[in-house]
Amino acid sequence: MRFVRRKLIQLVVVLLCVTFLSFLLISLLPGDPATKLCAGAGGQECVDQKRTELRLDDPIPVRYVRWLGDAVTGDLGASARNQQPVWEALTQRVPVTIELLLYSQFMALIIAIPLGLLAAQRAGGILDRVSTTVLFGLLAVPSFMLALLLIYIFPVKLGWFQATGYTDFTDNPLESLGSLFLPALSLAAAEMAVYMRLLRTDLIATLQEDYITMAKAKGMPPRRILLRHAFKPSSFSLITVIGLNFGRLIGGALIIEIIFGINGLGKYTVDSILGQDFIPVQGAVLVIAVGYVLINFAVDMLYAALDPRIRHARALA
Amino acid sequence: MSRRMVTAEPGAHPETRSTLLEVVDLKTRFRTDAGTVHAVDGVSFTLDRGRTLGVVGESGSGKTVLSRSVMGLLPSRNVEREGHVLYEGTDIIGFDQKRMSQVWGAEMAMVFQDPMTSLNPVMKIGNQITESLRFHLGVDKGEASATAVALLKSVGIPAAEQRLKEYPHQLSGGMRQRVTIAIALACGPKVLFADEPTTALDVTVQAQILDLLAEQQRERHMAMILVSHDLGVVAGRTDEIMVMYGGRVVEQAPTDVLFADVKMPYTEALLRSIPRIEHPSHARLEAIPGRPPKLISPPKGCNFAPRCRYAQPKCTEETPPLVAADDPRHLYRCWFPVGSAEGADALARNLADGTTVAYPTSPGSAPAAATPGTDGEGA
Ligand SMILES: Nc1ncnc2c1ncn2[C@@H]1O[C@H](COP(=O)(O)OP(=O)(O)O)[C@@H](O)[C@H]1O
Ligand SMILES: [Mg+2]
Repeated sequence: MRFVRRKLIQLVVVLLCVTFLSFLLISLLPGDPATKLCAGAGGQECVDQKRTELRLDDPIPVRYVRWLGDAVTGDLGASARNQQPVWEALTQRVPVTIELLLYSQFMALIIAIPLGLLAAQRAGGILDRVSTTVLFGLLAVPSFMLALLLIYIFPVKLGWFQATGYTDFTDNPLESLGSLFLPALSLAAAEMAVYMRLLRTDLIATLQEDYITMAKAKGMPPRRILLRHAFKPSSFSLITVIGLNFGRLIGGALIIEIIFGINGLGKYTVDSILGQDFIPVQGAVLVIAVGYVLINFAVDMLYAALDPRIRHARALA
Repeated sequence: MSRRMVTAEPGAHPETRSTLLEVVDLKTRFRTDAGTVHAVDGVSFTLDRGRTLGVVGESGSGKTVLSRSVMGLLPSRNVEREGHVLYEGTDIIGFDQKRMSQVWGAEMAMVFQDPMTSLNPVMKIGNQITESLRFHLGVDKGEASATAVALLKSVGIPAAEQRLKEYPHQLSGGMRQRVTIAIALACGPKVLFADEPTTALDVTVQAQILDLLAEQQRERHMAMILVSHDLGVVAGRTDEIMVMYGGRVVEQAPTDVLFADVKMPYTEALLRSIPRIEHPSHARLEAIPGRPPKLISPPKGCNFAPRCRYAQPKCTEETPPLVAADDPRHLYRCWFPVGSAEGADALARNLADGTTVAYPTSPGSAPAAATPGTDGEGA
């Protein structure tokens, strides 16, 4: 399929760009890794030795290609503080954050989609107004405040859920979801309003379309019209924003992971930055950037899956 | 409503000349911020089984609102409906959504104006046809598909099996309209509303689509309401014609009676604006000078008076009632009808003055009065 091929080529180009920028980001920071690695001991001799060892004096493109080659084979260097290989740390941390992000998006959608559907069907009705008000109220609460509030209400007062800690999904899926319930809810709360309103607005526009009246004129029941005829063509803005939101949510996850003491990617990044430990930061930035690009690629693929006109489009940009 | 055969039985016309649909004094108003729009203002007609009624009028005259109002397809918000719609003797005006969904598709169906927007762009054509078959007739998937193929073939779509798996954007406009016709016909409705079914199409396929509708109508002994802004389209294809202006019926008669003896100046103006072979397409009804009437608090008198070549002071004072001509089936709404002595006098007076009541201060430039030729001046 032409569309997929074109998007794949775009994907490769964008990936090269973001990896190069991730690489450059650290190379251009003051205080090079060699100095950092020799902190406290060794003096200039050590620094020079490390520079040759890391081949920091080669031209930037050469270093980039070498770095990229190492990266794709799973070598992202090691932490200067505890010598833990970055790749190893990331394989432990990234799944936690992915679980948290997917969980929170799922929570936001499971509330927002039914409400959006019902609100659009009776625009201006009681449910529309009440849900809009409540969700916009939630949108106004910063996620860290909500997190603290939730910790106060549930684990502290009611003794439900844990305040901190994380159970690995592969160990015990149910317990894992329980351990991430409050963190995910803290992140999801602000998304619900946006998702619901987006879906509602697009649905209201779709419901004015001729093909909806046509479905009605065929005698299709209202629920079928809403779900089978209107939902799919109304979901494009929603999908776009979900894709874009992942980037923003990684920022939010950072704070939430710290509040709930979850050893995810966000906490790893913050700890490394505070410890002036650049190699792990570079690895984390790389994962976030690549993840973001891949999510947006997935969004493009979803458009194509939902809309045959995009699949069959030839010369569209 | 009972389940019926999907395929028509040609020649089987058991109940000839019996009333299928009777609309009595139907009014439809929209409540808007600007005021109440009287989009349909007291329309009555009767449609017998297997017959065709043409509804003609300029854009904005209320044809679409009338069709949708009769079918009960208008959204419930801000819309007021009054009057009676008797379908097979039952008033369906009070039916709720649930009871109407037994009527829609199975008893009454509609073909829309623009096949580019009336098919769901993200649903396969096959599903768009089979879903109503499965819902109304309760047939299984395979049977529904087989019926869909037969329907597509009957509306002249080649390679019908393949088309089932295609999406609307893969078809041309004419083919799409054939698909919407197949969808409308799927459950064997007894009356088909065709709302300007060819207006959005290429001139070359317009006649084909109209012929297809006529052919299907004949085979299925189905009644049809054929809506058009073009009197030429309905002329040879209807049993009766209803001319609408500003939400009201201004003239109504059996087709042959109407063309033999036009009473209403508006109908006369429409007749003159039928596109000719020499300059087809475009510039049809724009040719009647002036603008369609306001539907929010319309002024008193005849609402066509401001654009009428025959208009007299009386026309802007008193609203003419719908009266019968010599033939009692011929109704019109005019104080100075075409072909009458009063009408001839009125026209002569206006032509002599170069004015009408509507354009008292602009002699010469009063287009309705001074330039009877209303044919389009080029596209
Ligand atoms: N939903 C609506 N709200 C307000 N006015 C409407 C609505 N739908 C149609 N109208 C008005 O009703 C009048 C008749 O429209 P319509 O039936 O579409 O005309 P036609 O089909 O003859 O071109 C127009 O003046 C239009 O503006
Ligand atoms: Mg119309």
